[in-house]
Amino acid sequence: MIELKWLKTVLVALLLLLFQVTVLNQVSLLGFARPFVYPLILLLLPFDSNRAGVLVLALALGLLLDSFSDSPGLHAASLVLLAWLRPHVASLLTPRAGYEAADEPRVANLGLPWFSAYAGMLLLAHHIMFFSLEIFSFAALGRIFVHVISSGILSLILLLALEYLFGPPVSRKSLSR
Amino acid sequence: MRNFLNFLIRYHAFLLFLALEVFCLSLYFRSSAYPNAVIMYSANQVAGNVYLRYSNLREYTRLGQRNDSLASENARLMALLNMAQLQDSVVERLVSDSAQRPLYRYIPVRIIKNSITSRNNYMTLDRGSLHGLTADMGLITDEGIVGKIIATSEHFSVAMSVLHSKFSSSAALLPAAQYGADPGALPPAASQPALSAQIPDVDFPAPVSQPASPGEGSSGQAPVLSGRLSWDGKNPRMVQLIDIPGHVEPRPGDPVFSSGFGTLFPAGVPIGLVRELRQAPGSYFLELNVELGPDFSRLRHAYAVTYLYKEEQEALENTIDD
Repeated sequence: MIELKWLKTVLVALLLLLFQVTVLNQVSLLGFARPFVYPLILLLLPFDSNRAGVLVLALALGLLLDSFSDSPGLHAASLVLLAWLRPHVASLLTPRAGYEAADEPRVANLGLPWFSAYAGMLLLAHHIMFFSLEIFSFAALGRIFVHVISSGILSLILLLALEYLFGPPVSRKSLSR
Repeated sequence: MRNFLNFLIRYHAFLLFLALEVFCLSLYFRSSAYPNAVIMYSANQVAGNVYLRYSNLREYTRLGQRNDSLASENARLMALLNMAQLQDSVVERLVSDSAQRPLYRYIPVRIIKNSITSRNNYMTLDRGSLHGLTADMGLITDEGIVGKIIATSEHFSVAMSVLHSKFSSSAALLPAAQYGADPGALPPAASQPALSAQIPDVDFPAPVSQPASPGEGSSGQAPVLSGRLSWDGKNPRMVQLIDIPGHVEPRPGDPVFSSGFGTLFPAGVPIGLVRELRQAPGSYFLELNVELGPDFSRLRHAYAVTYLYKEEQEALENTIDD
Protein backbone atom coordinates (compact mmCIF):
# COMPACT_ATOMS: atom_id res chain seq x y z
CA MET A 1 0.00 0.00 0.00
CA ILE A 2 2.79 2.35 0.95
CA GLU A 3 4.69 1.52 -2.22
CA LEU A 4 1.64 2.21 -4.33
CA LYS A 5 1.39 5.64 -2.75
CA TRP A 6 5.02 6.42 -3.58
CA LEU A 7 4.45 5.34 -7.16
CA LYS A 8 1.49 7.72 -7.36
CA THR A 9 3.55 10.59 -5.93
CA VAL A 10 6.31 10.02 -8.47
CA LEU A 11 3.82 9.85 -11.35
CA VAL A 12 2.11 13.05 -10.23
CA ALA A 13 5.50 14.76 -9.93
CA LEU A 14 6.47 13.71 -13.47
CA LEU A 15 3.16 14.96 -14.87
CA LEU A 16 3.54 18.30 -13.09
CA LEU A 17 7.10 18.69 -14.41
CA LEU A 18 6.03 17.88 -17.99
CA PHE A 19 3.11 20.30 -17.72
CA GLN A 20 5.47 22.98 -16.43
CA VAL A 21 8.19 22.67 -19.09
CA THR A 22 6.00 22.10 -22.14
CA VAL A 23 3.06 24.39 -21.44
CA LEU A 24 3.45 26.73 -18.48
CA ASN A 25 7.00 27.86 -19.31
CA GLN A 26 5.57 29.43 -22.47
CA VAL A 27 2.90 31.38 -20.59
CA SER A 28 3.33 34.97 -19.56
CA LEU A 29 0.06 36.79 -18.81
CA LEU A 30 0.24 40.53 -19.52
CA GLY A 31 3.96 40.10 -20.01
CA PHE A 32 4.87 39.45 -16.39
CA ALA A 33 2.65 36.89 -14.64
CA ARG A 34 4.29 33.48 -15.02
CA PRO A 35 2.66 30.37 -13.52
CA PHE A 36 4.60 27.78 -11.51
CA VAL A 37 3.01 24.45 -10.52
CA TYR A 38 6.03 22.33 -9.67
CA PRO A 39 6.32 23.70 -6.06
CA LEU A 40 3.17 21.65 -5.40
CA ILE A 41 5.33 18.49 -5.43
CA LEU A 42 7.17 19.70 -2.32
CA LEU A 43 4.19 21.45 -0.72
CA LEU A 44 2.19 18.21 -0.52
CA LEU A 45 4.88 16.04 1.10
CA PRO A 46 3.86 14.67 4.53
CA PHE A 47 4.71 16.82 7.56
CA ASP A 48 6.99 14.19 9.08
CA SER A 49 9.23 13.92 5.98
CA ASN A 50 12.93 13.94 6.67
CA ARG A 51 14.13 17.54 6.38
CA ALA A 52 17.47 16.73 4.81
CA GLY A 53 15.74 14.36 2.41
CA VAL A 54 13.31 17.06 1.28
CA LEU A 55 16.21 19.47 0.71
CA VAL A 56 18.03 16.96 -1.47
CA LEU A 57 14.81 16.19 -3.35
CA ALA A 58 14.34 19.93 -3.93
CA LEU A 59 17.85 20.19 -5.33
CA ALA A 60 17.28 17.26 -7.68
CA LEU A 61 13.92 18.57 -8.91
CA GLY A 62 15.36 22.05 -9.35
CA LEU A 63 18.33 20.87 -11.37
CA LEU A 64 16.05 18.76 -13.55
CA LEU A 65 13.87 21.79 -14.26
CA ASP A 66 16.95 23.91 -14.85
CA SER A 67 18.25 21.53 -17.47
CA PHE A 68 14.90 21.87 -19.26
CA SER A 69 14.84 25.65 -19.07
CA ASP A 70 18.56 26.31 -19.62
CA SER A 71 19.04 28.15 -16.33
CA PRO A 72 21.54 26.10 -14.28
CA GLY A 73 20.91 26.70 -10.57
CA LEU A 74 17.98 29.11 -10.84
CA HIS A 75 15.03 26.80 -10.16
CA ALA A 76 17.21 24.73 -7.84
CA ALA A 77 18.10 27.70 -5.60
CA SER A 78 14.43 28.77 -5.37
CA LEU A 79 13.17 25.24 -4.63
CA VAL A 80 15.82 24.58 -1.97
CA LEU A 81 14.75 27.77 -0.20
CA LEU A 82 11.13 26.65 -0.34
CA ALA A 83 12.06 23.21 0.99
CA TRP A 84 13.95 24.72 3.93
CA LEU A 85 11.18 27.16 4.81
CA ARG A 86 8.44 24.53 4.58
CA PRO A 87 8.62 23.14 8.16
CA HIS A 88 9.07 26.65 9.56
CA VAL A 89 5.97 27.96 7.81
CA ALA A 90 4.07 24.87 8.92
CA SER A 91 4.98 25.45 12.58
CA LEU A 92 4.15 29.14 12.23
CA LEU A 93 0.67 28.23 11.01
CA THR A 94 0.00 25.45 13.56
CA PRO A 95 -3.77 25.25 14.04
CA ARG A 96 -5.22 25.22 17.57
CA ALA A 97 -5.74 21.48 17.39
CA GLY A 98 -2.21 20.88 16.20
CA TYR A 99 -1.35 18.68 13.27
CA GLU A 100 -2.45 15.46 14.93
CA ALA A 101 -5.43 14.91 12.68
CA ALA A 102 -3.48 15.57 9.51
CA ASP A 103 -0.33 13.97 8.22
CA GLU A 104 -0.34 15.75 4.87
CA PRO A 105 -0.85 19.43 4.06
CA ARG A 106 -4.06 19.23 2.06
CA VAL A 107 -7.12 21.42 1.69
CA ALA A 108 -9.21 18.42 2.72
CA ASN A 109 -7.25 18.01 5.96
CA LEU A 110 -6.69 21.56 7.12
CA GLY A 111 -9.12 23.76 5.25
CA LEU A 112 -8.85 26.34 2.53
CA PRO A 113 -7.67 29.33 4.63
CA TRP A 114 -4.84 27.32 6.16
CA PHE A 115 -3.74 25.85 2.83
CA SER A 116 -3.87 29.23 1.07
CA ALA A 117 -1.69 30.83 3.75
CA TYR A 118 0.75 27.90 3.71
CA ALA A 119 1.05 27.73 -0.10
CA GLY A 120 0.93 31.52 -0.48
CA MET A 121 3.81 32.21 1.90
CA LEU A 122 6.02 29.50 0.42
CA LEU A 123 5.22 30.52 -3.17
CA LEU A 124 6.04 34.11 -2.25
CA ALA A 125 9.47 33.10 -0.92
CA HIS A 126 10.10 30.93 -3.98
CA HIS A 127 9.08 33.70 -6.40
CA ILE A 128 11.12 36.38 -4.63
CA MET A 129 14.20 34.20 -4.88
CA PHE A 130 13.46 33.19 -8.47
CA PHE A 131 12.79 36.63 -9.95
CA SER A 132 15.51 38.41 -7.95
CA LEU A 133 18.05 35.96 -9.32
CA GLU A 134 16.66 35.99 -12.83
CA ILE A 135 16.43 39.74 -13.26
CA PHE A 136 19.28 40.44 -10.81
CA SER A 137 19.36 44.21 -10.85
CA PHE A 138 18.65 46.69 -8.08
CA ALA A 139 17.50 49.14 -10.72
CA ALA A 140 14.64 46.77 -11.51
CA LEU A 141 13.26 46.30 -7.97
CA GLY A 142 9.87 47.55 -9.14
CA ARG A 143 9.81 45.07 -11.99
CA ILE A 144 10.84 42.22 -9.68
CA PHE A 145 7.99 43.19 -7.33
CA VAL A 146 5.41 43.19 -10.14
CA HIS A 147 6.66 39.80 -11.37
CA VAL A 148 6.58 38.29 -7.87
CA ILE A 149 3.09 39.49 -6.96
CA SER A 150 1.39 38.75 -10.29
CA SER A 151 3.05 35.36 -10.70
CA GLY A 152 2.37 34.51 -7.06
CA ILE A 153 -1.35 35.12 -7.46
CA LEU A 154 -1.46 33.16 -10.71
CA SER A 155 0.48 30.22 -9.26
CA LEU A 156 -1.65 30.11 -6.12
CA ILE A 157 -4.87 30.04 -8.13
CA LEU A 158 -3.44 27.26 -10.27
CA LEU A 159 -2.31 25.21 -7.25
CA LEU A 160 -5.69 25.56 -5.53
CA ALA A 161 -7.47 24.55 -8.74
CA LEU A 162 -5.26 21.46 -9.07
CA GLU A 163 -5.80 20.59 -5.41
CA TYR A 164 -9.60 20.83 -5.77
CA LEU A 165 -9.65 18.94 -9.09
CA PHE A 166 -7.27 16.11 -8.28
CA GLY A 167 -6.70 16.20 -4.52
CA PRO A 168 -8.69 14.25 -1.95
CA PRO A 169 -12.36 15.31 -1.90
CA VAL A 170 -13.03 18.36 0.25
CA SER A 171 -15.98 18.01 2.62
CA ARG A 172 -18.03 20.93 3.86
CA LYS A 173 -16.83 20.30 7.39
CA SER A 174 -13.17 20.67 6.52
CA LEU A 175 -13.82 23.93 4.70
CA SER A 176 -15.17 25.66 7.80
CA ARG A 177 -12.34 24.51 9.99
CA MET B 1 34.28 18.33 20.03
CA ARG B 2 31.10 16.94 21.53
CA ASN B 3 29.56 20.39 21.45
CA PHE B 4 30.52 20.75 17.84
CA LEU B 5 28.95 17.41 16.98
CA ASN B 6 25.81 18.38 18.85
CA PHE B 7 25.74 21.60 16.90
CA LEU B 8 26.06 19.70 13.63
CA ILE B 9 23.28 17.31 14.53
CA ARG B 10 20.99 20.00 15.82
CA TYR B 11 21.38 22.28 12.83
CA HIS B 12 22.05 19.70 10.14
CA ALA B 13 19.04 20.79 8.07
CA PHE B 14 20.08 24.43 8.17
CA LEU B 15 23.70 23.62 7.33
CA LEU B 16 22.63 21.37 4.47
CA PHE B 17 20.34 24.15 3.25
CA LEU B 18 23.23 26.64 3.30
CA ALA B 19 25.54 24.25 1.47
CA LEU B 20 22.94 23.52 -1.23
CA GLU B 21 22.15 27.21 -1.70
CA VAL B 22 25.84 28.05 -2.10
CA PHE B 23 26.10 25.25 -4.64
CA CYS B 24 23.05 26.45 -6.62
CA LEU B 25 24.07 30.09 -6.58
CA SER B 26 27.62 29.38 -7.69
CA LEU B 27 26.19 27.23 -10.46
CA TYR B 28 23.85 30.03 -11.48
CA PHE B 29 26.34 32.87 -11.44
CA ARG B 30 29.15 30.89 -12.97
CA SER B 31 27.14 28.89 -15.48
CA SER B 32 28.56 30.92 -18.33
CA ALA B 33 32.00 29.77 -17.20
CA TYR B 34 31.13 26.17 -18.00
CA PRO B 35 29.69 26.29 -21.51
CA ASN B 36 30.75 22.68 -22.06
CA ALA B 37 28.53 21.34 -19.31
CA VAL B 38 25.88 20.47 -21.86
CA ILE B 39 24.14 18.19 -19.40
CA MET B 40 23.04 21.28 -17.49
CA TYR B 41 21.21 22.51 -20.57
CA SER B 42 18.27 21.26 -22.58
CA ALA B 43 20.67 19.80 -25.14
CA ASN B 44 21.02 16.75 -22.89
CA GLN B 45 19.40 13.54 -24.12
CA VAL B 46 16.40 13.58 -21.77
CA ALA B 47 15.30 17.18 -22.20
CA GLY B 48 16.18 17.18 -25.89
CA ASN B 49 14.05 14.13 -26.62
CA VAL B 50 11.11 15.40 -24.57
CA TYR B 51 11.14 18.69 -26.47
CA LEU B 52 11.63 16.93 -29.82
CA ARG B 53 8.57 14.75 -29.26
CA TYR B 54 6.47 17.59 -27.98
CA SER B 55 7.39 19.84 -30.88
CA ASN B 56 6.70 17.07 -33.41
CA LEU B 57 3.28 16.74 -31.83
CA ARG B 58 2.60 20.44 -32.06
CA GLU B 59 3.92 20.85 -35.56
CA TYR B 60 0.81 19.34 -37.15
CA THR B 61 -1.28 22.26 -36.02
CA ARG B 62 0.89 24.73 -37.90
CA LEU B 63 1.76 22.94 -41.14
CA GLY B 64 -0.18 25.34 -43.35
CA GLN B 65 1.52 28.38 -41.93
CA ARG B 66 4.96 26.76 -42.26
CA ASN B 67 4.33 25.86 -45.89
CA ASP B 68 3.35 29.43 -46.64
CA SER B 69 6.44 30.88 -45.07
CA LEU B 70 8.75 28.36 -46.76
CA ALA B 71 7.06 28.99 -50.12
CA SER B 72 7.49 32.73 -49.82
CA GLU B 73 11.12 32.26 -48.84
CA ASN B 74 11.61 30.06 -51.91
CA ALA B 75 9.96 32.68 -54.11
CA ARG B 76 12.30 35.34 -52.82
CA LEU B 77 15.35 33.14 -53.37
CA MET B 78 14.23 32.24 -56.89
CA ALA B 79 14.05 35.92 -57.73
CA LEU B 80 17.73 36.10 -56.86
CA LEU B 81 18.75 33.39 -59.33
CA ASN B 82 20.48 34.48 -62.49
CA MET B 83 17.75 33.10 -64.71
CA ALA B 84 15.21 35.34 -63.05
CA GLN B 85 17.13 38.46 -63.86
CA LEU B 86 17.61 40.36 -67.06
CA GLN B 87 21.31 40.15 -67.86
CA ASP B 88 22.05 43.42 -69.65
CA SER B 89 25.17 44.24 -67.77
CA VAL B 90 28.56 42.68 -67.27
CA VAL B 91 28.57 43.46 -63.55
CA GLU B 92 27.65 40.39 -61.56
CA ARG B 93 26.06 40.36 -58.19
CA LEU B 94 28.59 39.46 -55.55
CA VAL B 95 27.31 36.58 -53.50
CA SER B 96 30.64 35.13 -52.51
CA ASP B 97 34.14 36.47 -52.41
CA SER B 98 35.98 37.52 -55.55
CA ALA B 99 37.18 34.00 -56.35
CA GLN B 100 33.55 32.78 -56.07
CA ARG B 101 34.30 30.62 -53.10
CA PRO B 102 31.58 30.40 -50.47
CA LEU B 103 31.91 32.76 -47.51
CA TYR B 104 29.13 31.31 -45.37
CA ARG B 105 27.68 27.88 -44.90
CA TYR B 106 24.07 27.34 -43.83
CA ILE B 107 22.76 24.30 -41.98
CA PRO B 108 18.98 23.96 -41.70
CA VAL B 109 17.78 23.26 -38.15
CA ARG B 110 14.47 23.06 -36.33
CA ILE B 111 13.86 24.95 -33.13
CA ILE B 112 12.24 22.38 -30.84
CA LYS B 113 12.08 24.52 -27.71
CA ASN B 114 12.05 28.25 -27.31
CA SER B 115 11.08 30.66 -24.57
CA ILE B 116 10.37 34.37 -24.60
CA THR B 117 9.09 34.84 -21.05
CA SER B 118 12.38 34.79 -19.12
CA ARG B 119 14.94 37.53 -18.77
CA ASN B 120 17.46 35.16 -20.38
CA ASN B 121 15.92 33.04 -23.10
CA TYR B 122 17.35 29.99 -24.82
CA MET B 123 16.37 27.76 -27.72
CA THR B 124 16.96 24.08 -28.24
CA LEU B 125 17.74 22.84 -31.75
CA ASP B 126 17.28 19.33 -33.15
CA ARG B 127 20.77 19.22 -34.66
CA GLY B 128 24.08 18.81 -32.87
CA SER B 129 27.79 18.29 -33.32
CA LEU B 130 27.14 15.21 -35.49
CA HIS B 131 25.53 17.50 -38.06
CA GLY B 132 28.34 20.03 -38.03
CA LEU B 133 27.00 22.51 -35.51
CA THR B 134 29.48 24.15 -33.17
CA ALA B 135 29.33 26.86 -30.55
CA ASP B 136 29.41 30.47 -31.76
CA MET B 137 27.47 29.91 -34.97
CA GLY B 138 24.79 32.46 -35.77
CA LEU B 139 21.14 31.42 -35.98
CA ILE B 140 18.87 33.13 -38.51
CA THR B 141 15.49 32.59 -40.11
CA ASP B 142 14.25 33.97 -43.39
CA GLU B 143 12.76 36.85 -41.39
CA GLY B 144 15.82 37.85 -39.40
CA ILE B 145 18.44 36.98 -36.85
CA VAL B 146 17.26 34.99 -33.83
CA GLY B 147 20.26 33.90 -31.78
CA LYS B 148 23.65 32.33 -31.38
CA ILE B 149 24.59 28.72 -30.64
CA ILE B 150 26.37 28.33 -27.32
CA ALA B 151 26.57 24.60 -26.65
CA THR B 152 26.15 21.38 -28.59
CA SER B 153 25.73 17.73 -27.74
CA GLU B 154 25.74 14.96 -30.33
CA HIS B 155 22.13 15.37 -31.43
CA PHE B 156 21.01 18.69 -29.95
CA SER B 157 22.22 22.25 -29.53
CA VAL B 158 21.34 25.15 -27.29
CA ALA B 159 21.25 28.65 -28.67
CA MET B 160 21.15 31.91 -26.77
CA SER B 161 18.17 33.87 -28.03
CA VAL B 162 18.41 37.50 -29.11
CA LEU B 163 16.15 37.94 -26.07
CA HIS B 164 18.99 37.38 -23.56
CA SER B 165 20.83 39.83 -21.33
CA LYS B 166 24.20 38.67 -22.66
CA PHE B 167 23.29 38.69 -26.34
CA SER B 168 25.06 41.42 -28.22
CA SER B 169 25.57 41.87 -31.90
CA SER B 170 26.58 44.59 -34.27
CA ALA B 171 23.67 45.98 -36.27
CA ALA B 172 23.43 48.53 -39.03
CA LEU B 173 20.80 51.15 -39.56
CA LEU B 174 19.79 52.05 -43.07
CA PRO B 175 18.01 55.42 -43.04
CA ALA B 176 15.18 55.42 -45.55
CA ALA B 177 16.79 58.11 -47.63
CA GLN B 178 19.58 55.71 -48.54
CA TYR B 179 17.56 53.07 -50.26
CA GLY B 180 15.24 55.53 -51.86
CA ALA B 181 12.00 54.83 -50.03
CA ASP B 182 9.72 57.62 -48.94
CA PRO B 183 9.67 57.36 -45.16
CA GLY B 184 6.26 58.97 -44.99
CA ALA B 185 4.83 56.19 -47.11
CA LEU B 186 5.31 53.59 -44.40
CA PRO B 187 1.97 53.12 -42.67
CA PRO B 188 1.77 52.83 -38.86
CA ALA B 189 2.49 49.55 -37.16
CA ALA B 190 -1.07 48.69 -36.24
CA SER B 191 -2.28 48.26 -39.81
CA GLN B 192 0.56 45.95 -40.83
CA PRO B 193 -0.11 42.29 -41.53
CA ALA B 194 3.44 41.02 -41.07
CA LEU B 195 6.46 43.00 -40.08
CA SER B 196 8.87 40.87 -42.07
CA ALA B 197 7.05 41.78 -45.26
CA GLN B 198 7.80 45.44 -44.63
CA ILE B 199 11.55 45.06 -44.39
CA PRO B 200 12.60 46.01 -47.89
CA ASP B 201 14.77 43.81 -50.08
CA VAL B 202 17.70 46.12 -50.50
CA ASP B 203 21.10 45.66 -51.99
CA PHE B 204 22.78 45.99 -48.66
CA PRO B 205 25.97 47.99 -48.97
CA ALA B 206 28.43 45.48 -47.58
CA PRO B 207 30.77 47.36 -45.28
CA VAL B 208 33.85 45.46 -46.35
CA SER B 209 33.14 44.58 -49.96
CA GLN B 210 34.99 47.23 -51.91
CA PRO B 211 36.72 50.51 -51.20
CA ALA B 212 34.49 53.38 -52.23
CA SER B 213 35.75 54.99 -55.39
CA PRO B 214 35.73 58.80 -55.54
CA GLY B 215 32.79 58.69 -57.94
CA GLU B 216 30.64 56.73 -55.54
CA GLY B 217 31.45 58.99 -52.64
CA SER B 218 29.92 61.96 -54.35
CA SER B 219 26.72 60.13 -55.23
CA GLY B 220 25.44 60.54 -51.69
CA GLN B 221 25.99 56.96 -50.53
CA ALA B 222 26.63 57.61 -46.86
CA PRO B 223 28.40 54.91 -44.85
CA VAL B 224 26.22 52.43 -43.04
CA LEU B 225 25.56 53.47 -39.45
CA SER B 226 26.29 50.66 -37.11
CA GLY B 227 25.42 50.28 -33.46
CA ARG B 228 25.12 47.56 -30.89
CA LEU B 229 22.04 45.44 -30.45
CA SER B 230 20.91 44.29 -27.00
CA TRP B 231 17.70 43.51 -25.12
CA ASP B 232 16.48 45.26 -21.97
CA GLY B 233 14.19 42.37 -20.98
CA LYS B 234 10.94 44.31 -21.08
CA ASN B 235 9.14 43.52 -24.30
CA PRO B 236 9.92 40.35 -26.29
CA ARG B 237 9.02 42.15 -29.53
CA MET B 238 11.41 45.09 -29.05
CA VAL B 239 15.18 45.10 -28.88
CA GLN B 240 17.40 48.14 -28.36
CA LEU B 241 19.94 49.50 -30.78
CA ILE B 242 22.44 51.70 -28.97
CA ASP B 243 25.53 53.72 -29.85
CA ILE B 244 23.98 55.24 -32.97
CA PRO B 245 25.64 58.64 -33.37
CA GLY B 246 23.34 61.58 -32.69
CA HIS B 247 24.05 63.47 -35.91
CA VAL B 248 21.92 61.14 -38.00
CA GLU B 249 18.18 61.32 -37.99
CA PRO B 250 16.70 57.87 -38.17
CA ARG B 251 12.94 57.73 -38.39
CA PRO B 252 10.40 55.16 -37.30
CA GLY B 253 10.14 52.64 -40.11
CA ASP B 254 13.81 52.59 -41.02
CA PRO B 255 15.07 49.02 -41.47
CA VAL B 256 17.84 47.54 -39.35
CA PHE B 257 20.14 44.83 -40.66
CA SER B 258 23.08 42.85 -39.37
CA SER B 259 26.19 44.81 -40.17
CA GLY B 260 28.54 41.96 -41.04
CA PHE B 261 31.05 43.19 -38.47
CA GLY B 262 32.13 40.37 -36.26
CA THR B 263 31.85 36.79 -37.41
CA LEU B 264 28.36 35.84 -36.26
CA PHE B 265 26.04 36.93 -39.09
CA PRO B 266 26.53 37.82 -42.74
CA ALA B 267 25.93 41.45 -43.62
CA GLY B 268 22.40 42.40 -44.58
CA VAL B 269 20.35 39.83 -42.68
CA PRO B 270 17.20 41.66 -41.57
CA ILE B 271 16.65 42.39 -37.89
CA GLY B 272 13.60 44.62 -37.77
CA LEU B 273 12.23 48.13 -38.08
CA VAL B 274 12.93 51.20 -35.96
CA ARG B 275 9.89 52.08 -33.83
CA GLU B 276 11.01 54.71 -31.32
CA LEU B 277 14.12 56.74 -30.74
CA ARG B 278 15.34 58.72 -27.80
CA GLN B 279 18.49 60.49 -26.80
CA ALA B 280 19.80 59.89 -23.32
CA PRO B 281 20.21 63.24 -21.55
CA GLY B 282 23.76 64.47 -21.81
CA SER B 283 24.71 61.82 -24.32
CA TYR B 284 25.64 62.20 -27.95
CA PHE B 285 24.35 58.77 -28.86
CA LEU B 286 20.82 57.69 -29.68
CA GLU B 287 19.01 54.65 -28.36
CA LEU B 288 16.47 53.09 -30.70
CA ASN B 289 13.69 50.64 -30.06
CA VAL B 290 13.67 48.12 -32.89
CA GLU B 291 10.70 45.86 -33.49
CA LEU B 292 12.02 42.39 -34.35
CA GLY B 293 11.15 40.97 -37.77
CA PRO B 294 10.60 37.33 -36.70
CA ASP B 295 7.74 36.55 -34.36
CA PHE B 296 9.75 34.90 -31.59
CA SER B 297 6.71 33.10 -30.21
CA ARG B 298 6.39 31.10 -33.45
CA LEU B 299 9.96 30.29 -34.42
CA ARG B 300 10.30 26.93 -36.07
CA HIS B 301 12.71 26.56 -38.99
CA ALA B 302 16.06 28.29 -38.86
CA TYR B 303 19.53 28.16 -40.33
CA ALA B 304 22.76 27.87 -38.40
CA VAL B 305 25.22 30.02 -40.29
CA THR B 306 28.95 29.73 -40.05
CA TYR B 307 31.53 32.11 -41.44
CA LEU B 308 34.19 30.03 -43.18
CA TYR B 309 36.99 32.53 -42.64
CA LYS B 310 36.13 33.02 -39.00
CA GLU B 311 39.27 31.46 -37.53
CA GLU B 312 41.54 33.44 -39.79
CA GLN B 313 39.78 36.71 -39.01
CA GLU B 314 39.70 36.10 -35.27
CA ALA B 315 43.34 35.03 -35.19
CA LEU B 316 44.26 38.25 -36.92
CA GLU B 317 42.12 40.34 -34.58
CA ASN B 318 43.58 38.61 -31.53
CA THR B 319 47.10 39.52 -32.51
CA ILE B 320 46.03 43.15 -32.19
CA ASP B 321 44.09 42.84 -28.97
CA ASP B 322 47.00 41.44 -26.99
